Amino acid sequence: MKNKKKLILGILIIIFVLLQIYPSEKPSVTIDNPNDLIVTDKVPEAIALKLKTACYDCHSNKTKFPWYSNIAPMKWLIYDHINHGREELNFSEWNTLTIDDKADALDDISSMILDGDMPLSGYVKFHSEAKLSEADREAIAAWADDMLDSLYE
Amino acid sequence: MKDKIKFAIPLIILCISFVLFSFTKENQNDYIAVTIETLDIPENVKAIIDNKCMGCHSDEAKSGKSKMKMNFDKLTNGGYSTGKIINKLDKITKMLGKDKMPPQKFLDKYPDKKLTKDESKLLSDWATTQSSTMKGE
Repeated sequence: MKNKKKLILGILIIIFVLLQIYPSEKPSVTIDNPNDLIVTDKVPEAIALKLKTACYDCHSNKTKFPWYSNIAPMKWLIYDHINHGREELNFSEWNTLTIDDKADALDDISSMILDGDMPLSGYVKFHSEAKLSEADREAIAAWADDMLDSLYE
Repeated sequence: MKDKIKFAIPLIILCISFVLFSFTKENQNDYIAVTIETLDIPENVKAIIDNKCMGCHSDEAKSGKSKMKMNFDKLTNGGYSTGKIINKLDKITKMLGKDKMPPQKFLDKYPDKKLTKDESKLLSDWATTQSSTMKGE
């Protein structure tokens, strides 16, 4: 009986080690992003700070990877989220967007933040600093709406 | 003394919110003026919107999510600013172009809400033209 338990544990450890060897590409990090929203547009400091703490891990090239993001199987999920997040909206590439695409993104930001769709609840569970209060959400939405309007003035 | 302060605080808050409220009211009025002047919805387009879209995308709609993303009432009643209206019009064109609205799941339940090819084109062309006009193109 005891041997059987040891065997199972051994197999589990071997599987875990094998998972680590399975190749997966870590999303790249770029520190200097001349087209970043916060670099190219005047974003109020308080809003910029919120965006950096609540959005930039998945929606910019400046991802801060937590220690467990190097361990399979979590890393697959995390990498996938980051790649998908950057694809949808990458603040580091902000200034390469057309005016219409910026407007589209700002309108989505406003409704998704107000509706509580973003940041993802799974992300907030592991990043308590990314939790947005009702007031934070309203401030971000108001900023996005204002900026959207300024695009067409 | 303490009691006096306690009494004064709500009074001050009330005054401040009153001032803020009157400011926001003013802004909204600005938008109404802009909207009515620029957004023109012909009867045939309005009929499509009323019949096929307003069920989910109006003040009266039950679903908060679809209403939050797009509310046709706000297009005309001053609820959306000019920039917002332009983007919502562009979103109509985009969604119809990808055949994403009304959503398939919804159509499974209410097949009569499907947009005909003509309706989709009419709505999409209208949104494109309105948006271009508002952008000054």
